Amino acid sequence: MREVAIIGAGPSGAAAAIELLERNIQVTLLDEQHRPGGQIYRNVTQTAPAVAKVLGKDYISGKPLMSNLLEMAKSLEHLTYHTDAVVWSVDRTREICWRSGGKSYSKIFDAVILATGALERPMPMPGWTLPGVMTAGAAQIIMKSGGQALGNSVLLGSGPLLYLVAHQMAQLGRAPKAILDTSTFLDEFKAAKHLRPDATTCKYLVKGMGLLVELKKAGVKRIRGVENAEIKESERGLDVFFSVDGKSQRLSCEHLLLHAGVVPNTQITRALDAEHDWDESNLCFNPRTTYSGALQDIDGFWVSGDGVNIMGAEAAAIRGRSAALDICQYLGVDIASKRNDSSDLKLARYVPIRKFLNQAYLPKQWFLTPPLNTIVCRCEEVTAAEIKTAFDQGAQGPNQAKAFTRCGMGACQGRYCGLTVSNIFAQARNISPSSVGYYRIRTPIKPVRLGELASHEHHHKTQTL
Amino acid sequence: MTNNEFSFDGQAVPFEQGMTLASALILNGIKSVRRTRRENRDRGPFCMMGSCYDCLVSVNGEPNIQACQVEAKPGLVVESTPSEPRLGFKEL
Repeated sequence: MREVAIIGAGPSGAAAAIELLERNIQVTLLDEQHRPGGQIYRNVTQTAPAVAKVLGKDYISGKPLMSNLLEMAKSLEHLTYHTDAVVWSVDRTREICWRSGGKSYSKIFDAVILATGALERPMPMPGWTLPGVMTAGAAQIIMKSGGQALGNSVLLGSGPLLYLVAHQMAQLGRAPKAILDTSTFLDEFKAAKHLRPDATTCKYLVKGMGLLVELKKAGVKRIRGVENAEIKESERGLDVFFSVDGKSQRLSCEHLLLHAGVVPNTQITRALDAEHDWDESNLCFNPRTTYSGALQDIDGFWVSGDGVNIMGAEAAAIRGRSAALDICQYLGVDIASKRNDSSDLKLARYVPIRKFLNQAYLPKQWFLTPPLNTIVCRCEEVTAAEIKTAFDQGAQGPNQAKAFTRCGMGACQGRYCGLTVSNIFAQARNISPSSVGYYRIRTPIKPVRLGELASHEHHHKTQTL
Repeated sequence: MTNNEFSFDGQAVPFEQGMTLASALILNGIKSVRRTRRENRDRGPFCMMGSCYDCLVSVNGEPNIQACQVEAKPGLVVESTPSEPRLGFKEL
């Protein structure tokens, strides 16, 4: 029996699993969370109706998919669903190691789908490591898992999530004090050339404008063109200093929520040493895949969803299905009767709005290459100045900076400093991040305990009958 | 300690069903959960999705647990992580 591993139970992982299960392919689904949904549909099968209503239609729309997956996990023998499972190694032989419940396990699979989604782009600025400074996504996760919003908060950054989170917080009775938007009206005006009068684009635009109206009603202050922000601790909590049109301003809050868009989580594809391409439209690295998500240079691996490039949750589910169908062909399973050829068309729908969002809310240079006193690597507390010094001493890129300064060597394995360090070198050497490259990521891709390793158990491949 | 509480450095922290330790802590105004190793500074939850490792605490004596990945349960003993690792091995 052929067996496929899927890492991640968000929209693309769940959709891929269902597609494979319906064709009687053995699936092992590994996910870090206790319940399916990923971050976008986090807790969607459990959320109280009142809270789900606040989180909105797009959130609730993930429920049927996740409920369907849970049903299959109960009733189907050819699905093994490991919740609370942290993958710490994936190699080119398609052996996956994960830890769960104090033990470590491994198994070799016939094909692997990496559906590990996105991470919030690092938004380094002086003071971003202070307690009370979090990502906007973190504030949303708090609402999704507990039904409550953080109080006395300010949001800083750009992009639709910032406004969605602010609106959700307002509906839960804790409207943020202000939204400090780093983008300008001119950014949006210039990006408008990507917009098309089709249904999908209009749906997103209407949603966005609705959010603006609601936030105005809720009394949330909106400041645009925010630059050079800096955060300091004070007796009031946090003081945010920033400038608009060269004029300095200050705001106080208890929680500061940062957001500058999301980027693919490439830890596993990096650990596999797959090819990655610099994406100039979203200023990030994307793994190089075929249209269906197969890694071009490594046999038996697919990436799906936002892990390929950022297209959002609806597109992620479509891409999960298309990766699953591609795997069926790879494994020699007949899919002719069920092939859904409209999947191309469905994906194309999301392109105009994505191009608009990428250009209008492109992150700004003042935090892509932050001031020298900024901590860049949160884990090892390495500043931009130390990275610059490493460069002055002859380091040519992120991997040498790592050896010079320990940046990227902490527990997060470079997840929240990798892009910044690549950007700093690109700027210092006056070349593209594409030529600078990225950290070499090695196993363990997430920390694993000695005791878990000592109890490691290898599952032998299910025998073909 | 009542039904829906755990302790953090000896202080009772109430929580709602389904919340993680990190959610409950931050909603109760507890923002710092550890001291950093190099600079010995306060640090608290940042990403809430298991990626940043800034929310490491000890749970019932076991160190280096991500507070954002553990669901709050009544009676858990949660402690902040000091800058210097606590030495001493349970087994010795």
